[in-house]
Amino acid sequence: MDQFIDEIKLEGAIGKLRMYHKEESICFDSTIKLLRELTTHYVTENTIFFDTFNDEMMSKFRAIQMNQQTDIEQMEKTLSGYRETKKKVEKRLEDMI
Amino acid sequence: MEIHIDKLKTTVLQLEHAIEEYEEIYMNFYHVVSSSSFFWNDERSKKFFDNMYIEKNHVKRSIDELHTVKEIYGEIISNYEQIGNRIKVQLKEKNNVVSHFNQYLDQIKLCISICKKIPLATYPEVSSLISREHAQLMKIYEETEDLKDRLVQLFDRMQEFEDQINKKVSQLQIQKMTDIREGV
Repeated sequence: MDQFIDEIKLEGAIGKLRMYHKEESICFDSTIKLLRELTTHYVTENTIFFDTFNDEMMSKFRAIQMNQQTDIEQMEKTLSGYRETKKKVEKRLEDMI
Repeated sequence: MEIHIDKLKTTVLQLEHAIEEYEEIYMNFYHVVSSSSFFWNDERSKKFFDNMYIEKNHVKRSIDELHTVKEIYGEIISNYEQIGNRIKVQLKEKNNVVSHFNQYLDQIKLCISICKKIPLATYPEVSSLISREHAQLMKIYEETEDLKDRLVQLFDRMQEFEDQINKKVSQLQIQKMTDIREGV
């Protein structure tokens, strides 16, 4: 298998993902706030179903955030592993020279 | 139950914007992820990108779920805005309200029958007054009965709306996020 890693591009991608992840976290907070607000403007016997939906959606948002955090860490791990290997190889080459 | 249509409208609009924003972030995030496959390819990347594909679909599903709930609120608004802006009513009290109306109607009916029983020829000096009162009572009776019918219709209509919403909202199911990281 042809293996390759573009260190600069991968680092750039991680940076962007961190930024989107943060934006998403803010968006999730405001979405939950709005969903909760809606149940104060519609108070009927059906409100309980919306409350359940809101609670489940909040758990889902948390799970999404945690999963994406793990995704980013996975990429960071790959990048740092690559850098370590690169450093070792460069050191070995230097020693050989 | 208590419903504020104006406040619902404003908040649903804000929710719509929040979902749009979320969709944009979602697209950007997974676009960067899929682009990463062009510059990261090793023994771990394949499994990573396969998992990301599953995760992306899970996240897309949550956006769809938010759209569904927003549409249900939209339906609530379009149903109730025909009735009023701020609605506060106890639907369970319908029978009590009807019963009070019926009692009132019975009392008017009684007054009408008393008016009818008065021999106008015996009291010619008040006959026109009694006739006027009789006509007035008949009018009040018809108007009250009409009001009662309209109120019953309104109660039934709101109950019907609530049943429709119940059918939709009770079917709302959120797909659980399973830990798709296992084994990566």
